[in-house]
Amino acid sequence: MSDSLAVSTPAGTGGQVARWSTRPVPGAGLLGRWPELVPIAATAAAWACLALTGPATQPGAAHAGRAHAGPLAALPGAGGVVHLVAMTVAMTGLLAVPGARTAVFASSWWRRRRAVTLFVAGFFLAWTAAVLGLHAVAVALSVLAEPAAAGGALLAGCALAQLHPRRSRRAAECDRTMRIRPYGRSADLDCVRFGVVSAARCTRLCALPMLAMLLLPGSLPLTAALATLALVERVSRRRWPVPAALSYAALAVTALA
Amino acid sequence: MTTVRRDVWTLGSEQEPWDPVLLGYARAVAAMQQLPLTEPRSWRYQAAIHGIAGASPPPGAPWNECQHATWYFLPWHRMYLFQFEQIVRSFVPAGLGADEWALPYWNYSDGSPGDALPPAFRVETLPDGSPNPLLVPERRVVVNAGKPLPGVVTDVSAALAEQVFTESGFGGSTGFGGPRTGFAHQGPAFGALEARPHGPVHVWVGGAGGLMTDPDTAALDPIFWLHHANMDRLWATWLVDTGVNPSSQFWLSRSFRLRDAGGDRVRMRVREVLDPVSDLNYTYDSLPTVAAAERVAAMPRRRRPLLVAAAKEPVTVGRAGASVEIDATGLPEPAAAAAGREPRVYLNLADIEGEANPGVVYEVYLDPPEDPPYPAGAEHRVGVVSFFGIEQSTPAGAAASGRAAHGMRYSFDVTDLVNRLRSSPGWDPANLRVALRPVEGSEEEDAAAAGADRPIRIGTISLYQS
Repeated sequence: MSDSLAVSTPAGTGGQVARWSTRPVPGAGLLGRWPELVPIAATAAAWACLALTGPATQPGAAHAGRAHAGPLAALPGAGGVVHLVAMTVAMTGLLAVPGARTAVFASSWWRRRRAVTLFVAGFFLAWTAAVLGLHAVAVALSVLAEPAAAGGALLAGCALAQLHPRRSRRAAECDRTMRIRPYGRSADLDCVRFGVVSAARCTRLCALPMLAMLLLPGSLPLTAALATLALVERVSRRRWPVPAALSYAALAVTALA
Repeated sequence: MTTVRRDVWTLGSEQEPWDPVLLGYARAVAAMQQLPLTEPRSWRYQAAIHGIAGASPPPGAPWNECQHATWYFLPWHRMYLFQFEQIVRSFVPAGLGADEWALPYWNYSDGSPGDALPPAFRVETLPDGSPNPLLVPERRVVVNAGKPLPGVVTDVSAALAEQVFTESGFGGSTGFGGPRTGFAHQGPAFGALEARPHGPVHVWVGGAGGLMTDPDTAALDPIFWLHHANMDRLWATWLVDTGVNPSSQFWLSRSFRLRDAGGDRVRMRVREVLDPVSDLNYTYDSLPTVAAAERVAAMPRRRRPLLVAAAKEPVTVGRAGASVEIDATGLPEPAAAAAGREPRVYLNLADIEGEANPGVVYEVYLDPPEDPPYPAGAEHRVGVVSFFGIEQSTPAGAAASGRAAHGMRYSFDVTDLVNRLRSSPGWDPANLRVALRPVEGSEEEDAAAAGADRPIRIGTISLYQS
C-alpha cells in the first residue's frame, strides 16, 4: 500500500489536490529512524563481553589485589581498561537512550546516523573518563579501608542519597536537552557536547554506586543489580525512592555480610 | 450532592455584577488573604502550591508543584481546583449558599460578552463599599477596563480538534493534553489546550509584570481559578466530543500532594479524578448530556518525525517580534501518488529560553507578506505563542522554584498552509520566512515593565515531516 494520501483541496488551488511525497528519506536508514538501537546494541555487546570474560577478571577484583602495590596501581592495565570500558558501557548504555533520541530528532534527516554516533561517542567517552577517575579513587580507598567494607558503606550512602530532597531535581536535569545546530561541523560538535554533558549529569547521580562497584569484588549479578536500579530510577522518573533506597540498603548489607 | 460550576457571565452583568456566588467568592478570598503564608488554607499558600519563587517551603509543604508542558497538566490542575474549591466553600458566608457553592468558569472563547473580564473582577468595591479583592491592579490595563480578549488568544478550535491525548511533540503534535513525562513543573512541550488558549490567556490578562503572566504568581489573581475551571471544562468537553484519556498506568497511578479543606495533607491519584461527577461531585452547566461513545483507550503510535529544514541561527524575540528565513528546499516535493497516510508538516520552535516573560502574546506566521500588519495575515498565521512559564527555562529561574530547567518547545501543524503556499506563484522554499508578531494590543503595555528588556531566545526554528 502506498503511504501517500490526498489532502483536502486547499483554497486557491482551483480544485487541484496537493499530495506530499512520502518516499523513504535517503540516508535516514534504520539507525536514523531508531537511534535507540545504537546504545542498546553497545550495551548488549558490553554485557556479552563481561559475561564471556567472567567475574574473576572484573575490575573490582583486579584492582583490589594490587591495592598495596603503590601509586601506579591506580592505573589499570590494558586488560583492565577494556573491562572498565565494558563495565561502563554495560551499566550506563541504556541511560543514553533518551539523549540519543533527542540528538537524532533534533538533527537534519541526512545527519541522523552521524548525530547518534557522535552523541553516543561523547556519552561513553565522558563516562569512561569518569570511571577511570573513580577507579583511581577506588584504589586509594582500598588502601585506607577494607574494599568490601568501603563498598558496602558506599552502597549504604546510595540508599540515603535516594531519599535526599534534591535528588528529584538532579534526576530531572538528566532530561534537559541542548540546542543542536542543524548543519556543518558545529552540528557535529553540538552532538558530541550533548553526549558529554548528558554523561556529566548522569555522573552526578550514578557516581556513588559506580565507585561502590569498583571497590567490591567483581560480580555480574551486582553489576546487573546496580545497572537495573539506575535504569529504573531514570525510566520511572523517581517514582519509587523508598523501594530504591531499600534495594541499595539490601545490597549494602549483602556486601558487608 | 453534585454541585454545578456555572459560566461566570451568567452570574452577573455590567449593571449588576454581584451574584451570591461571586460575592461569596469575594468574601472567601478576602478572608483567605488575611491568613499568613504558612497557613495551608491561606490565599498565598494556595498560590504557592502552584508556584512561588525565592521562598523556602515549610516542611512538607507542596509548593511549586504545578504541572505544565506535560500530560499531567490537566489532572493536576483538576485536583488543585477541587481542593481549592473545598477550601473556598469553607470560607463562604452561610447566607451566600456555602453548601452549594462551586467555582464558576470563564468561557472567553464564545464571543461577546464572555470574552471580556467579568465585571465582578473589575469593579472597585463590593456592594457594602469595601475594597473588592477580585480586582487586581497587576493586570493588563485594557483587560481591567473590560476590553475583550483577542480571538486569536482565546481560540480553542485547534485544541479541540486534537484526536489523541498525548504525543511526544518532538517535531509533531503534542496531543490534546501534553507529552508523556514524569513529574514536570515545567516540561518539554505544551499540549494543544495548554498552548492555546491556556498560556495566551494567562499572558494576555497579566501583561508585562502582571500576576497571571508568571506561574509563580498566577494563582494570586482570583481570575486564575476561573480560567482553570474553563480548562477543566474543556477537557470534559473534549472527552465527550472527541477523545479518550490515556490508559497508561504511569499516568493513572501518579499521585500528587495537596492540602484539603481542613488544611491537612492529602494525596490524589490521577485515576481518582477522571470523572468529575462520580469522583468529585461536581459538573458544569454547559457539558453535553449525551454520553461519550465507547472508544478504545490506547496510546498513540510512536511517530518518527524528520527534520527537513531549519534556521541556521537562533532568533531573539523582542517586544516587536522577530523574523527569520529558513531554507526549506529539503522539503519533499508534492507527489501525485495514490492514497495512503498523509504525512504532516510541522513548524517547530524549540530550545526556547528567557529570564522573564515580556507579557506579549505573539502570532506566528509562515511566509507572510513582507510588511506588517499583514493584511492577508490570517491565511499565513499558524498559531500563537505566549511563553508562559519561560522563567523556568533557565537554570537560575528554575532553581528559584527548586526545580530543574527545561527549554520550551512549540509545534504547529502547517501542512495545509504549506500545501497552499506551494500552489501560489511566490513560493520560494529557499527563503521561507517565519515571523513572530505581537498580537494587536500588546503594545499598549508599558515597555519599561518587567521583562521588557529581557528578550526570549528561540534556539531552533525548524520544519518537520511526520
